[in-house]
Amino acid sequence: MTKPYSLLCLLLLGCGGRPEGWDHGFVSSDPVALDNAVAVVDRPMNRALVFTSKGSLDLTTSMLPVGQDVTKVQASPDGKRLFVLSRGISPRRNPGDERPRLTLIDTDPTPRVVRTYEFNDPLSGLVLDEQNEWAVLYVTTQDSRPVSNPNEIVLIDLAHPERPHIPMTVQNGGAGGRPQKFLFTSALTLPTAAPRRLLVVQTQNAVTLVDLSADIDDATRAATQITVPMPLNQANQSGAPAEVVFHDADPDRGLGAELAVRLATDTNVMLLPIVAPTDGATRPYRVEPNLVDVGGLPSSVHFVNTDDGIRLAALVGANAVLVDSATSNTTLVGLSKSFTGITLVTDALAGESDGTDIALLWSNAAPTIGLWNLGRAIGSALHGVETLDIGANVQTVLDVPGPNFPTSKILVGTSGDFFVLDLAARRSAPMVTNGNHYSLTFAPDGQSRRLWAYAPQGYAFSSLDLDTLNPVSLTTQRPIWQVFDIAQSGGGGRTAIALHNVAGNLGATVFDALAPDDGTTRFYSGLAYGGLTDD
Amino acid sequence: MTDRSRFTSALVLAFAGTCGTHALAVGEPPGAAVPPPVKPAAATTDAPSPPPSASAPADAGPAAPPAPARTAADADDDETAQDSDASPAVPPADTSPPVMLQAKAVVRPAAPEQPNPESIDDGKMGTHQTHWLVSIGWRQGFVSNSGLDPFSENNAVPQFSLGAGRTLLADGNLSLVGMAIWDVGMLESSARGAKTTLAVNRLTLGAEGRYHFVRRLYAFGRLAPGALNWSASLEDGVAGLTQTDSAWSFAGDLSAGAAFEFAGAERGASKRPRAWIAFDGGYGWAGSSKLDLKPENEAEAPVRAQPLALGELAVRGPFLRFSVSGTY
Repeated sequence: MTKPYSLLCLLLLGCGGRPEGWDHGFVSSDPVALDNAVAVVDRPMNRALVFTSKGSLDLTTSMLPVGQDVTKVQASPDGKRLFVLSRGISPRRNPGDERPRLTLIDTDPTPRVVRTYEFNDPLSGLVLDEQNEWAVLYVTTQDSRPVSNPNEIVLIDLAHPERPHIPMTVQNGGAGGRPQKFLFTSALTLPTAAPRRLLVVQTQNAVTLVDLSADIDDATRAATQITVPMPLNQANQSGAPAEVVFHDADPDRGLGAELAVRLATDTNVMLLPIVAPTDGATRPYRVEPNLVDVGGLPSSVHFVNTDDGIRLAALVGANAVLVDSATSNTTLVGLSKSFTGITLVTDALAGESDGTDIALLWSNAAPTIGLWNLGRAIGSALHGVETLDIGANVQTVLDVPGPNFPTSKILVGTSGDFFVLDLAARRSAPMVTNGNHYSLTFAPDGQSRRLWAYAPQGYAFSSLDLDTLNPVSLTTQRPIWQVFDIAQSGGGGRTAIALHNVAGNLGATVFDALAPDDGTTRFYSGLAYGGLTDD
Repeated sequence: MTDRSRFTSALVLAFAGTCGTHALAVGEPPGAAVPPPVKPAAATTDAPSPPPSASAPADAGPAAPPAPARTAADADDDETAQDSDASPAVPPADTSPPVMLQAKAVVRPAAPEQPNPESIDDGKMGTHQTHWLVSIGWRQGFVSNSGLDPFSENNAVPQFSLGAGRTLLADGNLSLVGMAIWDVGMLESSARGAKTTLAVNRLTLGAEGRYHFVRRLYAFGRLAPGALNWSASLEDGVAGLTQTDSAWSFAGDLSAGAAFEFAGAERGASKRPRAWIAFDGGYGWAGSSKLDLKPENEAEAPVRAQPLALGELAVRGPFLRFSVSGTY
């Protein structure tokens, strides 16, 4: 076919085309909340839709490129930054084919990509540091590689964004494990070195400590790892770490920093006190493992500050066992109920504390919660335990974000009902639902002083004023995907967004989060259509 | 009559057959008076023939042939016949049966074949150039504007094209034609799985300058300002209804092309219809309008539904058009 004839045919039949995004339906994983934005990854288009609000009932969409084949989307613990991990093009055929990538997006003052990291091989595991200083990427079973090093992790120093990422191999104890969980400690005081944070890597059968000091090189960081293999349990099976906790040094009592490991199928807990290194050692510290039998399989462990110093509290059935790591002595505390969860609420009840801890105990098997004043845990006949019957078993306990309600906890019942617990008043306010299991969400920064309860795919939801405990019933005209409460980018207002994901299209009903009212909503549709074409 | 002229005449007759009463006059030479009603054939005979009788005996000889259809050429024959009637001779009394007289008339030597006046080329431009015209065609637009993307997968905007006009001026090989053109088309597509439609109407009034290379072939350039209307819809799954929008905008076409007369009399003075085939191409411009879709039925829409903004739409770009025209 001659060229002019070809051109004529093209013109007659129509030529050119449109961006392929118009040919793909909208597909996304769950949206992610940030302080002042909601992010939804538009997977077919390899982009993030970031929704912000400039004013009352306003909704503005920004489209930001992210890598191809997104595997993980997560907000930073402070709600300021979005992390998007992608595999890129695999297998790569051309030099320009996209590599696996981590994209960092900030939303203040406007959404934008602030940094990308590229890797040679795909990674789909991502853990973020609560203090927003570090991120860890790791290989999961979803990462298909011809040859895989399952113990390879990548450290990213978020506090120094100019630095490249740090690849390293975690020692796994030699029994074929691979990283399962990660824990960032706070800065721990070392006997002979400057305080530093540690990364605790749990594999199937070992715990590895990685020095997170910013002033050591990568080779030193890799070389100074300490791996602690787990012991065989009572059934002569290889032990597996289930939970790792830590506390910093207490110089007044002459106690050093310490870690403890709860084992999955072992009545022992492993104590890992951090001690001075031996002479000539290259590592700035070492650990001295010590096993202590707590008399049963513990459901949870936590370091607590008692009237007799720091102890490891292990919940074992209807008892708590306090372990003195210095002597390995244990104190049995009867709790009257089989509590399965423990969380410290010392900061929330600072006025009641004499420097010792107060712990909240709850159970998914008993309709009772407990407040445990650890200042009386050893020297008192009742061991400082107060119980409160709330009428429902507790599935989980939620903190209320922000500084406005420090003494409030949300107890999510196994029945679907939830309770607002005022620790100071020792009072629980039940919020009875209509039988649906509601998802509960807050503003990440807690500034709206509200709790939002919604049932996915339902039309009705509630906004609970945490000051008055007055729930406001609200409805949308389309089924709800998720509800968010974000700060407006202009002024101090707040906007609540109920997202709708129906028939491959994305929409939203927008409320004033500070005064939600069905009568003043706005409905937005076609939110995934924007930015598909560049003129 | 040559094969070509037979083909041409056939097409003309076929075309004329679709034009109702015009078909009855197409055979008349330009300016010729319409002949009076044809007299019966018996007028050329000395004695009237009896009407055909169903009771005529079968052995009375061959049946009389039906009267031949009257043609323009027959009109000339009529004149000849009338001329002969002007100096009548007294015929002898004829006592033979009528059948015999008829047979005598049949065997009379036929008059020489008269040429079709329409096939006689007068060399004039005539209605090759100066005429009314109507046209129907297909316009293929190519619109690269991003506003079209939700409605077309390939940037193509096909439209039916209807036109009508009249030659306003003619001077030698040059002429000027005024035209009205209506291009109408509908696109159907999908936008991220949502069904979409876009109807486009373009109404223009054009001035067309022509240059005839020969009488049956001319090139032209056309400038046609006008207005464009589009009407868009999208079946919005999340809103649960159809969202629509429409707008008018200024539009204009600038194009050039050529036309060939493939059917029509050679004579420029002929009033018979002519048929043309034309190609033209150019650029069709239209202003841009905001594409803010709103619920078609407000009662079904979520309250205070905000417009679904899809940017701006400008249905403009190069185009080609193929059309068939009839002129008279």
